[in-house]
Amino acid sequence: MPKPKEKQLHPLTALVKNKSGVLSRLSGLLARRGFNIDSLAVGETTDSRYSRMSIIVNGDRKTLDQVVKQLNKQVDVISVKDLSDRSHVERELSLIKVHAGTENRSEIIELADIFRAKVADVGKKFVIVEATGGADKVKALEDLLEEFGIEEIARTGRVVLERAEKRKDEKSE
Amino acid sequence: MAQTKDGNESRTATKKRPNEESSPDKERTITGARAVINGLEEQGAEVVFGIIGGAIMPIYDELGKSDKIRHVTTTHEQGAIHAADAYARVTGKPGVVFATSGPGASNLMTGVANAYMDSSPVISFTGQVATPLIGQDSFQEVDVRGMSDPITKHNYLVMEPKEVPKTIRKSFHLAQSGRPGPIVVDLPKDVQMGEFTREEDSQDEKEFKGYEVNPDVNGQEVEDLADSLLAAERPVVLIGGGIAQAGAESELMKVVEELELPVASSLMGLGCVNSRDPHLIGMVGMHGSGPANKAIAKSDFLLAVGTRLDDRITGNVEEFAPRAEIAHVDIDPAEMGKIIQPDFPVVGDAKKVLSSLNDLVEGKGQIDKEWWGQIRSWFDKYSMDSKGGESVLKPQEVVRALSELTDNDETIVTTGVGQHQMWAAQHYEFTYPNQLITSGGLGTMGFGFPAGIGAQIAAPDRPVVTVTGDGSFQMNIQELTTAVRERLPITVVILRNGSLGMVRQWQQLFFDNRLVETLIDEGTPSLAKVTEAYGGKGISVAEEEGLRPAMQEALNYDRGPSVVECFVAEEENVFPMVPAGAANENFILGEGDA
Repeated sequence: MPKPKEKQLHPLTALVKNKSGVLSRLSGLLARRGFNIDSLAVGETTDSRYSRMSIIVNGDRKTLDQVVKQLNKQVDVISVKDLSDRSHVERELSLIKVHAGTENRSEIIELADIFRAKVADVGKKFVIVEATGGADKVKALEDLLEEFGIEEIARTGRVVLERAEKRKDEKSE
Repeated sequence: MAQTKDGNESRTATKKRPNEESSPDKERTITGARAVINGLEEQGAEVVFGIIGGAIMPIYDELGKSDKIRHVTTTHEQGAIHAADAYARVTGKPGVVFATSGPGASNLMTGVANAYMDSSPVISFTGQVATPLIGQDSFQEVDVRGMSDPITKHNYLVMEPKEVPKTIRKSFHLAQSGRPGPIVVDLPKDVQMGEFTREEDSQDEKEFKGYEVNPDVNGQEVEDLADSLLAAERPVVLIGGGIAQAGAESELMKVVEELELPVASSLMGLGCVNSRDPHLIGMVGMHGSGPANKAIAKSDFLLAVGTRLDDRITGNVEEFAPRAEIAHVDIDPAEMGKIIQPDFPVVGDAKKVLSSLNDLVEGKGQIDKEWWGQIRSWFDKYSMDSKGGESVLKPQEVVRALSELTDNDETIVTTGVGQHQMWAAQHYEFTYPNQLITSGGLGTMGFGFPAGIGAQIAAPDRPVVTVTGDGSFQMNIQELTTAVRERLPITVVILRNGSLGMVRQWQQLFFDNRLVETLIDEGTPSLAKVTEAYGGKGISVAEEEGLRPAMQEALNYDRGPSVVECFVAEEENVFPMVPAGAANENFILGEGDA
């Protein structure tokens, strides 16, 4: 049996105008051109006129190249940067509602501690664990919590930002 | 918040009417609607195509006061936008369209998509329901911005009257700069009627941050390209509409003549090299000439300029120019590698790139004579001359006759889409850029006649002919009203074959001759008589003998539109033809060849 095609994930960060209609136009563009988007997250920057989009593209180099160019072509896009080969920080926040009675509540809290996750809410039947980190770490915690039974999950999608200091082997722009 | 049906009107009532003429007061206010007309005048717009309707009435009210802007009322919004598209292609200035909200705006969408595919600067202003009514499924409300997202270079929903002047300046800049394209500006009725002071309109310099119009050409890239071009033994140049857009035809010819290069053209590039110039080896692609498709298939270096290398050009991408190194010059970086990964990508304006290329190749000799020998042998082998002189009217002969009778280097030719379009492309001798105004990318049947209207308004003193089919003509036949009302002396040549011919051709070749729903003659009236009924001139021709006199009579008629309805041989098909998915080299030359 042929192995399923391995995902090739590329993180992109885009600075875009913070106006109504921009997100819909850009996400529509990505969908319509058949690009495979793993995750997309948007938030305002320190300058309220602009938002930063973090886009995780699944595809080969050619696809990635086209995503960058097609986004760049949009009037409301200020800049797009491919962070695949740049040192960057990548985080995702996940809220995980886990089945937790008195019998296993402390076990879940311990587990959360190991992952440096927080307990955001405790109820009679559930606790909500708030996990932050790279996608791998969050996934690992989710897998472990699965044993207790996950009721619901909400994730932010991955946000990425280029590191302030470049690695030594990295080319400057 | 409760809404009433008449909420639209009550909410949009203005406080007071601005008194523009008598008040020199700097603090005076103007309405959004007035600002639209002022903005258009400032931008030098002279013509607007459109149809009035409820949600755009304030703008029309102000338009009525302008003596600088001519308005052409069409019969259908699609007619307006195709006319504006052709107007833009003829004048090089943006075409402007007005339409009302809802169906007015949605009727424009085919034309917006058409302009988008052919990179034509068309700016559409659509009325919208008042802002408090947006999103409530109000009467004649449609999400114009959402609908036009995928088919515009950019679009706006203007939410405040003071944003109007800025939006118009930006729209004109965006439509024409870089790779041109259509802009849609959606204007809610209360924004049209609301007021603002001139002080509130300020130019924001940062508006175009991140929008690069005309990137500097990378000199090293052009040098690399030049080196490989000079080293090539079998080079071919492939040109597209970008040459006309950039006005780069003389820069192109310098390089071509310097190196004696053969030039193939896309549909959109026709005319950029004069048809009589021996360097032109024909149109490329699905209905391209034998020599052009053969030469590209055998070439060792392909210089593609101002073309997006779409599927009708390339055929099977894997087998497109398989032996060639490919250089791709285009102003749009996103075209690099979209379809074909070029060995030499050069982003830039065709005029600039070709001019620096010329500096590098000047005096460096000419290409191998053997290559031209080979190309000439393909001309002998794959001739497209039809016999003529037969009693039945051959569509190809009609186009040739038209070409001869309008051989004056100023006639504009527009077409619809289908067989007649390809015959026009193959058999009309185009002599200058943008002479052919056609729907290349979207393939919009019905484009030709309204495009003729726009072209004639753009160039009142030049002859305009529309070559169309009975299918295409009837898709916007209602614009005869417009042509008669405006007394436009367009000559429409209809190649009437009783069928949706291009699709019928595919059925004959690839669907075992099962002619499903492609024969349309039953019910189609005399198109000459219909034209007469509208108040134009209509002539019917069924034999080659009467063709030229009829055509001349129509061309001479100057009191309004004339139609020459040519009953052509119904069974004629367009050849050469590259079957979909095949390599361009494997074109078929006739029915028996399939």
